[in-house]
Amino acid sequence: MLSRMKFAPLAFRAAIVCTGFCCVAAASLADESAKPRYAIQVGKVITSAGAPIVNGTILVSDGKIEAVGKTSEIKVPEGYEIIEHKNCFAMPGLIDAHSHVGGSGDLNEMVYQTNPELRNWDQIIPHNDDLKVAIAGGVTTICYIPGSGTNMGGWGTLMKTGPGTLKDVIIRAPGVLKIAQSGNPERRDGEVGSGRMGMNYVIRQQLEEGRVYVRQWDEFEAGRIDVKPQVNLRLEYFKQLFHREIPVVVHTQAYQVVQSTLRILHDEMNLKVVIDHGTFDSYKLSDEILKRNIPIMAGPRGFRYDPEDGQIKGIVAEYANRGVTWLGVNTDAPVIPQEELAFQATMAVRYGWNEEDAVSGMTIEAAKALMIDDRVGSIEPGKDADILITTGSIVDPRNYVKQVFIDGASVYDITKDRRRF
Amino acid sequence: MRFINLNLPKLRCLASVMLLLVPLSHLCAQRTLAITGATIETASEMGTLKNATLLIKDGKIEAIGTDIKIPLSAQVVNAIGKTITPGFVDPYYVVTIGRETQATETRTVVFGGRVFTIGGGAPSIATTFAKIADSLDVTKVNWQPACRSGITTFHVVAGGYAQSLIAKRVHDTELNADVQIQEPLGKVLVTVTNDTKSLEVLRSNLKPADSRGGIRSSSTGGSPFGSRGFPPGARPSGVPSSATTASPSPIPTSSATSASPTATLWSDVRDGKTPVFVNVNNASAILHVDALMTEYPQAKIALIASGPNVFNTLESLDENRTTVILPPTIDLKPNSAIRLNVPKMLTDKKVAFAFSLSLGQSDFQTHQPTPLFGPAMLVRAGLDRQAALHALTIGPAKLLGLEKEVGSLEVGKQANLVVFDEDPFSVTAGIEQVYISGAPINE
Amino acid sequence: MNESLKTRIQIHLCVCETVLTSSVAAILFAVAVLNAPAFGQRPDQRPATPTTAETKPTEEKATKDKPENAKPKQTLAVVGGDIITVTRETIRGGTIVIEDGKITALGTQIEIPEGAKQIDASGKILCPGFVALNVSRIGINASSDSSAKNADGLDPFDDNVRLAVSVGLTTACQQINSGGGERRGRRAPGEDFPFTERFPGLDPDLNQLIQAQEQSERDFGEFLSLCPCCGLPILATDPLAIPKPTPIATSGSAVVKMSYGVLDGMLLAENVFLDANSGSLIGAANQRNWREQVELARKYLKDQAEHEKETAAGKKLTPPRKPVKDDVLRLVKNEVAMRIPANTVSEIQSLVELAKELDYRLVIDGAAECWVIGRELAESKASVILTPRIRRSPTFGAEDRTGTWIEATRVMQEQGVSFAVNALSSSISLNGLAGRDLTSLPLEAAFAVRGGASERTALAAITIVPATMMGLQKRIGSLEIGKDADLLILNGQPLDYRTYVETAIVNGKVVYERAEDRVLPVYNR
Repeated sequence: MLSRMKFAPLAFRAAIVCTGFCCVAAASLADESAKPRYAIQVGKVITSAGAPIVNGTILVSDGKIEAVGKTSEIKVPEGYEIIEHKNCFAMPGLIDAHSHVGGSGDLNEMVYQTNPELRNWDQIIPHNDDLKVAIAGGVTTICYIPGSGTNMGGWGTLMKTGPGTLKDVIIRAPGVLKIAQSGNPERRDGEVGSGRMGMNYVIRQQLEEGRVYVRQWDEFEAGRIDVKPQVNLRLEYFKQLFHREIPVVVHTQAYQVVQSTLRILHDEMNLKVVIDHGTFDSYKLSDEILKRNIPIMAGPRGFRYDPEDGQIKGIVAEYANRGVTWLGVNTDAPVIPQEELAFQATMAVRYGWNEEDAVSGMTIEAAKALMIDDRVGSIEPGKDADILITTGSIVDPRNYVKQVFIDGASVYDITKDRRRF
Repeated sequence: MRFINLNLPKLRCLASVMLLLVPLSHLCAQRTLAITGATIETASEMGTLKNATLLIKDGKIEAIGTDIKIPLSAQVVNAIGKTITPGFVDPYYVVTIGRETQATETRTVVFGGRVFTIGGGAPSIATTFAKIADSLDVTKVNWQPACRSGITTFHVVAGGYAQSLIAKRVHDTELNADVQIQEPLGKVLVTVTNDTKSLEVLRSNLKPADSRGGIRSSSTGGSPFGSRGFPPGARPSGVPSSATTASPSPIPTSSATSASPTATLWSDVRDGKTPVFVNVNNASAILHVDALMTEYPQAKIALIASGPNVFNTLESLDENRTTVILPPTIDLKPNSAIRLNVPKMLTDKKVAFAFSLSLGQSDFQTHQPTPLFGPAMLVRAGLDRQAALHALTIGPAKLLGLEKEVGSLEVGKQANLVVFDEDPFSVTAGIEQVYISGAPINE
Repeated sequence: MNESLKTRIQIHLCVCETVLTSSVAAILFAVAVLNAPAFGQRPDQRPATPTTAETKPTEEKATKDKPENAKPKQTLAVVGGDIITVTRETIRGGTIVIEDGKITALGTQIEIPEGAKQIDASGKILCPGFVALNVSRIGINASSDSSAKNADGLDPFDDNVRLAVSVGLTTACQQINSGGGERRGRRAPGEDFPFTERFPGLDPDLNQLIQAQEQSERDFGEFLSLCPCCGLPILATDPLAIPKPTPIATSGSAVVKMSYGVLDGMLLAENVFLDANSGSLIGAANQRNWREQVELARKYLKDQAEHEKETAAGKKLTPPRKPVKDDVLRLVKNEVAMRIPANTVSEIQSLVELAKELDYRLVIDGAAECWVIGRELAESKASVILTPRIRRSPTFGAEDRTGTWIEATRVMQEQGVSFAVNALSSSISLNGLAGRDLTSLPLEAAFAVRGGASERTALAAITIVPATMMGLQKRIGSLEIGKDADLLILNGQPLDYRTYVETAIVNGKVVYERAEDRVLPVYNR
């Protein structure tokens, strides 16, 4: 959805303003909260890994979750500070599978039609103004990706929204490949790629080039060929992609376009695919999506006005009604403000999705889709201590976030910080 | 077009020879024409007559029924297997009189780095009065589509504030004309939407002159000779005189009795002597018209509206004063793809309606191999077939005050007939022949 | 959208007489059965015409009812719901009786008039219809004709009316002639220069942008253009040229009921604010000009009263000339409030001071930094219009006293400043972005609760408070005897995001039913 160039100047200016002081502030914060140990005691823990725990305790040490369980059953070890929020919920930090506000906004380089040579982690501005508010909305992880100005925008980053150095905030880089199937990357000057046939050719051709490169290296590393292939920076990250270590996040929407995503990226190229808009009438492809077990991170559009019967239909609900369960929402921030990820779920539930599914959709389902569920997405021992303390279900906009922990550090606390959202 | 199968080959030869020798009108005047064996949809109280006979003399229907004695001298046309209906009366046949405005074009401007589209307004509605007879050259209108559709009587109208005329199909090989003006001074027409300017035409003109405090000078009001109207007798030379000379009807000299010739028109509307033809652009205009007409309980309205707009306002239509004129089509429920049979709903609500075969039909100008496809589909979807037939014939004839001459097949009426090759409300029915005052059009 | 009970009865009858032919008929039948208690008391309305019996259920919903007009007294009783009155206590399991569009009885021990049509609302919540203050032309024609009357422009079949009422919006205050201010030197002060004269059919956004441009022109004294890249003004010449007073260019408003399909009673009021342009009261020259206008208006009113007295005494004198526009007179007579956009503390303060000095009601639109000066606002007569989700960045280093704050609604409530809530947008969009257009008004009020306001205050912010701002508190905004019967039957609390409007009644007529009209998803949660 991020339209070409439009918001680049604004965000760029913001970036210039923020860079300086952010890093300073971030560094000090990170030092202060290094390796804290504490027990968070709340009225209800939503774990995104099984049933909620009423009157639960979460033990946190070294930035990781050590244990979680009923307060009556968990023994708080000595030296652990007790953080009590008796009438509140604790839940995993939210994950946005489609965001452009992780740093500077100049995310569309449109010299070439496909740009596997581009990566965006050098653009990151940790804990920038947008992310500070995002934290207040409960968002702790974003998939920060290039725009959809070309068919292949480049390599995106999975990052935390909290303060710290690049090393602190990056979960994985390259995190994902961004492909825009159609509906923005059209070349308007009439060369190949001005229509969908051309664009699909360009995508296939580029991926094939990458696949050949990866095969060569695989052969070499397996000792089947002797000549070491030349390193090609343009194609280097295709290794992770074709080894299915990272997914491709696809800007794809409407029935026919999603169909080509399934056929080309999944069936033909054998990639891990995340459908990152999946809006309009793509839900009619639910059977095909189910067959391939592909996640849908729907948004930023939340409904479709169906001309057949003149009804408003919730996008996520329509998938859910057809049996799809690997579902989530996105903001495409700044299309929807980053802090309103939970509100995207609010609207999805209003239009017929299930509230519990919405919570897991924003946490563990998104983490699985982005292949970072070993680190984030649920409150389970061993995972990053990205924890929200909320006044109630985060899907209800009347509730709000009181405190946020990222990697075990308290990064937002309304008893100390001014409420941001 | 296929020829009618004549029973006697000899007679066919004779007829052909005679056709070459004598003008048709003479032929009709001299011999009685008997059409036998057909199913006749009379559109009258007689209903449908099977295997019936129709006698035509001097352009009028002399007899009709199943038990008619055919005079020996009659020319007999065997029409077994055919269905005959009255010639159709189109209650809203739109012509262009050169004052309509087009929808404004859109244009884009760049302002402050943003691109905006402006314009794209709806076509404006003419609110100055015009008589169609003053500006219409009948010879320049393409009547062919209408003729192919079996329309024999036309209520010729234009958008905006105007006075209609009535035209009839003729078969005149000498003048080489398809249609002539029958009555140059017809009904009062207005087009309204939900805005003050167009509603004011109705509102101000309906007010009796005494309560208006004399004649106003407003352009939307009574002055009929605004910049674009012509007073009677002051016809510009560009308008062909054949338009009116073809008609024997005298032009009323209203200017002598009233300061405003439209005053009589409107007082007739107020008194319910003649309906006002109101073309509504949207559903809300129907409510606006209804609201402002409540003061005039006698007034009758012919409401020209699309099916969806009628559907929206079904409950507010007053069955005692309203006749709806609409195109005979299956409509879609507003904002959806759900299909509606609006004429059926009107039948159920006992609101009178008439079909205009020409109104808003995109394919009307091209060809109509099956001109009653629309009504036939509606009948298939549950519309009563007699109701459909009446909406094409006697219904509009009554609305226009022509029910004594046309609109049904009854003794004494004009012999305007349409011969179909099968049941006209079968979606595949085609026209085989059209008779105008007893004379066949197709050779 | 209808008074469908009659329809239901009719359908029920014909269904009994004929065979169930379609699924739609089956659904309608089910609805009819649900409302079975109403059959005992046959509604007092037009006797069933013979058409009833002939009406067959068809796949097109042939019998879909439409509201009637000009019919004998119509009585409706909504029975059994919990009534949130807004202005008074909530009544559990109460009854509301509506006669001819007005609420005539409300409470628990209410006798239902004979022949009243009944709607069973047991287990449901009743609350007044929502009132929106920032609506751009819904249900009303956008005519550029200066002689156009609002009443003639109404369009009860505008699809946006249907969408608006489907979320409970029953009254919408709309800008009619968006005032674009004036270009200096071409018009006399105080005269309107409707922008539409220059660009008919102008996009409202563009209008706003041009207004902003003209404002900067005033501020900087010369015509400027905006940088297409950053949107900042480009100075053409010397920015220090002396600015001339900006007129209080205002625009007309029309308050329109969202009575889908019903024209009667749709236009509620006109020109309910003096809508002043942003910045038209900023700066010494402007303020001096404004003081003068108010003085002139007061003097004129006095002269006029005198004139009337003398005319009554038989003297023949020329009436005094009207020196200001009508809306300034209305403001001075305290018939309307001034509504003006302002965001910064200094802007708000200066407007509050002026209003105090010149004694008129003030409504501040936007009011981003209102939370900084809550007490000052409370002491004045001013009220504010907020949109909790709008974010205005604070000044660096002054985060505790600049920019917006989500808790502004709490501060306003604590200080006793009444506030209305506006949606993020003034129009309805079907582009798919959910919860960001005008139909998200109740959700925006939920964000007021998120900020710390009570549910009660937040509900008032979309009902009685905007009604009062417009001076229409005797007609709309709460459920009380004598008020317009604009009420919603909800399946949950009004500000719960899951809540749907089951039935919307405007001017006593049912204009929306969720199960039947199927605008919004219908499912069981």
